[in-house]
Amino acid sequence: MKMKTGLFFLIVPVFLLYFVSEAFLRCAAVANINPEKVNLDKILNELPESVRDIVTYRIIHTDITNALAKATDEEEKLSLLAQLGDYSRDLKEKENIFRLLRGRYSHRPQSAAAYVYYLLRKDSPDQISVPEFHQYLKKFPQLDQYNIWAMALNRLSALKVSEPEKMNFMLPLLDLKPEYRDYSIFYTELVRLGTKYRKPQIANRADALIDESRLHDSIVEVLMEREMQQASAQRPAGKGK
Amino acid sequence: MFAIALLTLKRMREPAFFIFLGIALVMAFIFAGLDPIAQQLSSDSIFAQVIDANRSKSPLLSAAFIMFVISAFFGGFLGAAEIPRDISSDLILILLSKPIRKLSYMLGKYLGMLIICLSLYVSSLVIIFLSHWIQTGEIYPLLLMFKQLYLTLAFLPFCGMIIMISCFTGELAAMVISFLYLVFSLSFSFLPIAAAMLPKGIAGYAGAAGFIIYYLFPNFIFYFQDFKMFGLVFFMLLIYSLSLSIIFLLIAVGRLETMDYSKNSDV
Repeated sequence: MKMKTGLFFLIVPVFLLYFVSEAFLRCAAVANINPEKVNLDKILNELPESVRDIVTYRIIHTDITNALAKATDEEEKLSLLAQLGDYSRDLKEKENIFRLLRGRYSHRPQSAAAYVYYLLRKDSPDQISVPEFHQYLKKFPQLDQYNIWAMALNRLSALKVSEPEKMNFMLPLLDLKPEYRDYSIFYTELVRLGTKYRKPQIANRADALIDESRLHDSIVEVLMEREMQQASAQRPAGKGK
Repeated sequence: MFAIALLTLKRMREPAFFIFLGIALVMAFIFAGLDPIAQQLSSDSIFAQVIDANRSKSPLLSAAFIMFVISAFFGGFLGAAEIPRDISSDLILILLSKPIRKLSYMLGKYLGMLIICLSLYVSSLVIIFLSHWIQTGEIYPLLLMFKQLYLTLAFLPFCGMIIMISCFTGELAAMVISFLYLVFSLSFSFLPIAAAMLPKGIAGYAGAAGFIIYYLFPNFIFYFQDFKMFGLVFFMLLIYSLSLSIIFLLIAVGRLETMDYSKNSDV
């Protein structure tokens, strides 16, 4: 009993001394660091990997949230909201954002993240079927559709959907008259799938559309051209001479 | 206690110790010419700033740093097997049948291991200073030589840690677990420093969880940081080393008091 009491009276001050000295030494070590010389990446690199991942997530999440609070333009706000919904690991926050985008802004291309999230999500009552998704896609011009197709195909890959199902999902692309060169990627995939699963009509039609799409500019070129036109339109008339 | 320490020091007469000492001295000679450790690192890195903040004019030598790691490794290798070997050979039963308390036995082992580690490190330092003198014709300033000796404080918790682990496991397992424990403690050493640099609240629960894990390991980075000699930091470093060693040794004593020493025990 005496020994136990003795140990108790030893352990408490020893732990106290340990914590006090540790805190002091930690402050002394931090005081050695010049904050101007250290950026966030360097700090993150010093953290153990498990902690680094969570801290990085919180930093990016905070950055997007702050940018969203500062955004004044509706276009920018919607883009940031979609980005936040996509990035968030908080299921409640994610669902709230996607519900809002789907409910109020389904006519805007920024809602695509929400539609892709709910695509074939069997555990959700809000799941979107393939025909519903195709209907949604038709609302947008081909310029916006391209990204939505790409996002949806990524979602199918994540779901490990079978290749014949993927081919069926891509069939509406055969009814399009491609306006951008970028679409050739989808048609190339359709040629591969059509050949593999012995659907010559799909493979031949997709092959023809590859040639057709390659006659057009890429989306980046079109967007750059538009930006240049806008910039020249905003420039004062006298400066151009 | 001193009798047990002397018994442990008998290992210094074994060929294994001389081999380790020989390797350490050759390595000390090879690394003696290296620049101070702060000059080996990018000046912008956090570690470089922690170890060189222009607070003292005596830098930590790279060779001393390397020899500290090597001495700790060799000393740990020799010391980790001490208690498990005594238990497996039943020597502990003979020793404890004498008027020796378990606490004295353990402190003797601790002291013995500390002396082995210190002798490896100090003899390496002597070689480093001598090689510098032979190569340049100059003797290092006294304060710089003294600064390298600060690292000996790190052996206090290090030996306590090894003794604690060796009370729980067998010979080989003690060596492996000690090494893993050391790797983990080094990986978590930067956590509080990095977390303090982050904007408030950004680390959140990850930071709190990280800190709980962090407190399970000694922070050896504190021994390498730059500070004024004989100042408050030195005093705190001494308290930190002693308190941490006592914590490790208390756990070891607790284990020795409750252990079954029969041959079929779990050790």
